[in-house]
Amino acid sequence: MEQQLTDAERIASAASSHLIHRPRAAGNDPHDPARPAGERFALAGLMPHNHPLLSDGPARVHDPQLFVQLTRQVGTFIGRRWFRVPRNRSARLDRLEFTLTAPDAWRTGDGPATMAMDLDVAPTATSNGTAEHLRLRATMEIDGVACGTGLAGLAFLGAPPHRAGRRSRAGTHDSGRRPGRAAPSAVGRHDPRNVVVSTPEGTGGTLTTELVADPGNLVFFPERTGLVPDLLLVEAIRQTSLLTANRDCGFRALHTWITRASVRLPGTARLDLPSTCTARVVPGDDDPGRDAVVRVSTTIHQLDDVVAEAEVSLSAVV
Amino acid sequence: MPSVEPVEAGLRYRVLGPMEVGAGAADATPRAAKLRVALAALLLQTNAVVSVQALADELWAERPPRTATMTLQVYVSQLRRILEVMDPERGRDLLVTRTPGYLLLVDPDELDLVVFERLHRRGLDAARRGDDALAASLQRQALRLWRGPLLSDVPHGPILGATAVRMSELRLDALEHRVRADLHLGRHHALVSELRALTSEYALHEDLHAHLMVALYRSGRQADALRAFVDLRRAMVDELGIEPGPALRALHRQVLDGDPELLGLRDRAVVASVDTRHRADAVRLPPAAEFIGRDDVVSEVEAALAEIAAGRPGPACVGVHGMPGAGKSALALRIAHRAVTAFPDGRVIVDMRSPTGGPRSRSEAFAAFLRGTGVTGHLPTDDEELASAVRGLLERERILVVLDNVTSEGQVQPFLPATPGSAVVVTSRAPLTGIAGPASVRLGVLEPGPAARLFAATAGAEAVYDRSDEVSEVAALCGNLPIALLAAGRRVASEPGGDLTAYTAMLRSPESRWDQLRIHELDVRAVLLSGYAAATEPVRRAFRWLSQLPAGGFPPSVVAAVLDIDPAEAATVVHGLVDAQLLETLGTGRSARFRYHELLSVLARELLSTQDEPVAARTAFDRVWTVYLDLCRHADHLLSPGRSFWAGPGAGKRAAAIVGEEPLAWFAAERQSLIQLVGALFEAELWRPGWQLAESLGSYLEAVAAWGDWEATQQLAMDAAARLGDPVPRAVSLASLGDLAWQRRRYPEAEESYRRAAEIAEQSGLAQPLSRALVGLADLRLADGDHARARVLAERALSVSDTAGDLWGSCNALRSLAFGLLGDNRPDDALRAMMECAVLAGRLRHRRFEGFALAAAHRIATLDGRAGSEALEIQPGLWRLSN
Repeated sequence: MEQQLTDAERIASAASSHLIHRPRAAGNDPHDPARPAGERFALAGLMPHNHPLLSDGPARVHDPQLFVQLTRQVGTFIGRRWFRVPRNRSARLDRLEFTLTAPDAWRTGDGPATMAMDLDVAPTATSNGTAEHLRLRATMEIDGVACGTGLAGLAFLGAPPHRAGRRSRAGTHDSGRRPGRAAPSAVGRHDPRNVVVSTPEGTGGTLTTELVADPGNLVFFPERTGLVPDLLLVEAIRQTSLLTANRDCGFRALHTWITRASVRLPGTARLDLPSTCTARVVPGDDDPGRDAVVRVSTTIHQLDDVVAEAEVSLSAVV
Repeated sequence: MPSVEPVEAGLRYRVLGPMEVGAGAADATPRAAKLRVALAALLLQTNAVVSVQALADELWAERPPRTATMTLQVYVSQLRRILEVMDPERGRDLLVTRTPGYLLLVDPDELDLVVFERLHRRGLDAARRGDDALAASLQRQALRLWRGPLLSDVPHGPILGATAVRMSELRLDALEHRVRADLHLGRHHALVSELRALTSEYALHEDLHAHLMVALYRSGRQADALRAFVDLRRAMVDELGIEPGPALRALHRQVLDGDPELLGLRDRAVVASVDTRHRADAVRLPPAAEFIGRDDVVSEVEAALAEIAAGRPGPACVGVHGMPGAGKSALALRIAHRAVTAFPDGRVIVDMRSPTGGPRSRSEAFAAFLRGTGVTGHLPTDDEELASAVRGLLERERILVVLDNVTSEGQVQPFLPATPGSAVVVTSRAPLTGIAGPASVRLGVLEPGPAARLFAATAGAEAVYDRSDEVSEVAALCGNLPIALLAAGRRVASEPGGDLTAYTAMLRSPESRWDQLRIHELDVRAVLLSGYAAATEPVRRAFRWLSQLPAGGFPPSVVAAVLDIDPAEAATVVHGLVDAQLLETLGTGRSARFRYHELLSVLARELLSTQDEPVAARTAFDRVWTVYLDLCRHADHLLSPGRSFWAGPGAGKRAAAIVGEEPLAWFAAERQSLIQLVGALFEAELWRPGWQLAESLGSYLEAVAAWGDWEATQQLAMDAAARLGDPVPRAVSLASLGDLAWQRRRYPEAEESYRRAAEIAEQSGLAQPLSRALVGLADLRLADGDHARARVLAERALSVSDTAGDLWGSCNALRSLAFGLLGDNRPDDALRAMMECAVLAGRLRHRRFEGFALAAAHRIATLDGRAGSEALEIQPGLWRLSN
């Protein structure tokens, strides 16, 4: 309990920020079909420090996973405040892209760094005036330096999509065996509680891990749910990619960061069923003038369903 | 070219109209009627013996006098004296006695009737050979000899009567053949009205009616052509009881069927006296220079040409217009090079501007076109003949004509083909919508990417290698204008081992920019100046005086305010500037704004300082900032009433009319202009208005969280405050910087700014900035979770504001106090404070603040004392988010 309170306090202090709604010039007829449907915002705060997850990565760099957290949290609030999303609808990321446009700006300094984000939010699906899906476009600054762009799709669902009678894969069954977690250093973390994938297996070009989820971890499970949270899925993609980059290209996880990611989350994963992550290196263009970059393609399956798929670019933190 | 008959100069005897003998000072026309009859009878049978009897019959018809023979001898004698007057040397010998009468010796060139007959015959010969131009010319010359009915002032006897009838027919024949030749030459448009008059006079003349029908048909007036036939037929049936002849009936059927052969193309094998069939190779187009960008415009023009080729109704013309130096000629050349397949018979470029800069004459333009198609040999000087040769070519073949540097629609008309096949591309500065209609393309400046590539390609790879930032800057300083980019590139390329950095630095300076954009014959300033020089004086003056307006663009209403003229006049001025390509248009309709191109702005300011009185630049700038400051204060007052103690309704009704009732919209539209103006005021060391303008922008920039612009303007405001040595701007600017830092969640910076603001304000007894700073510090304490301290600060701020009667300050203080009380678990007091805040906001008519306060009060009322929440709106439009 004490540890949870500590985590909660730490999480709360890290995420306190100002969200400013940029008013559209009045006079635009809200019923005018030509009127832009979106809203614009500015977000200002501090880069997380002492965050149980976001401060648990490679030394001297901020964790781009912040983008995932922010877009989900802020997007949910915006959806409810401006786009009439009812509180009983949960939000789920179904798409995520981000690019570190100025990687150097992501290095940590001596003191706290300020963070600013410009957000463009627009509904892409509505029903009776209520948004069912939002698209968020963001540009990010750290200490006044433009350093990242991103795109997120946020779906608001009444009940999670239920796939009745998920079929087992032929020849597989849950034997009750729980795979061991990968080593934290192998996945770019220090705290074992932040490891969400198992020790990798696989030969040849493909690496396989199993998803490891701890519902007691407030970072990934701020509320009770029977589904694997999207933040955890994204973290699993990250960690599986690092394992692959290490195995195939010799990248050391605590000295590697993701500079670009394109993630789709077409499905949901249940907590009570195993989920498998498979990854492989994607051949890319060799540019001798550039720092070494490896691209990894990752897919998360639960039984026969694709829950997430992504392609990420990783490079060494110099 | 048909030989020019010296018809007028050699004539001595004129009978095609009233009788004239001799000319000018040697006029020897007999006065007596009998003498004119006698002479007329002799003239009409020149070089032939006219018997005494025939003369007597002509003079006295069937009632000759008893002394007719003697009287006739007297007449002859008198005529000989007249002829002697006309020709002292030979006159007396011209009238010869020859049995059985008399003979008048006349040189063939001396009698207009003979000349007429000769010309008419030659015209007929030319027509038979197919030389319609010569035929038309000869018949026209022949007809010019007629001044009226034959010997209209001489009594007609048998000889004159018969000759008159014959000559009248001959004249009509000449007229008909002239019309026929003109039709073959494609002059159907011009013939319609003449033929209408002729068919009205000769209501039963079938040939004339046939010509009228053809002329109307070729003019696209099929219905009128059919009506002409109906009118003739009715007249013939009514008066003669007969139907029109088979030829006319066949023509009628052709008109009914819309027979394309009636268009007469097969008749134009050899046009006029210009042999356009047998030509040398067409003049080759100039080589196409490297062409970058403009793919969309090229596609648009080519699509319009394709529509023309497919028979789109309307003029076969596409217009390309734009400011000088935009690359219109280069675009047209590129299109011409690409049009080989669509226009296989030739692509000709004609520069419609003369070497002196004025419009080229019609004949020069026609000749240039004909030579461009390969026509060799001597060309006529007659405009009509040249025009008909041009039209004949364009209507017979598929030729693309590019008319470059056109200044009026009249220059284009003669080149427009009447039939599908050929087309015209026109380049001009102003749009020629009367000609091109919907196919009128505006050529603006290049996009930044292609502009940079054009400069880089011209400067050379070595000069620009790994210098993309400077390349982009050069392109921007050139305003992305092609001619400037070319000049800049050539300058850089001309310097061996050229230093792009040094060049860029010189280009930045307005004083040296023109020099850097001039190389050999390419002078960008001169090109832009030509557009200015071609404008009217009022437009030129406005161009100079509006140059002080911000570069971000301005609406016509601001033009009216700056020039101190009424809005209608301002609209006319702006329209004139746009037509002269001296201003660019942004947007359309009511939201249209206007701005100077980068280089035109430099030019305008230069001209203002050199062509107007010495203080003109300062006067113009003073007008500009005075207007904008007034507008900004007014908009600030509407957006955030009471926040700024000097903001208020603008002077007069002008500010209200210009800003309107939507301050956010006005600020959004004017934002860049206002920020530029703040910078300009500081550059001009106008500290106080600069600070005032920056502060007036503050509430808007805060509302939309425009942190970059807010910080930049407030830093300038701080600088101005320091220079003014006035505690008011210092305290206010510091408070504003505090607000900025607080909004950006940079609490240490905010703390510093608010403390300094409070200190200065307290020392100087400035209630409003003191209250604002105290509230800022209270908000910081709220963020720290020190609600008690926040409450104390807010209460003090409230006291200061209440004492000073600062409603907005009290409102803001109550807001902060309410949150402080809420944090202290005093929800009822918090609710009371927030409701009081809402009341004050209502009194201020600050709708946004009032709405916020009421919503916050509702939240307080439903929170049951819980201060914590995932999100809390703590200022209008600003939420504090926590996990």
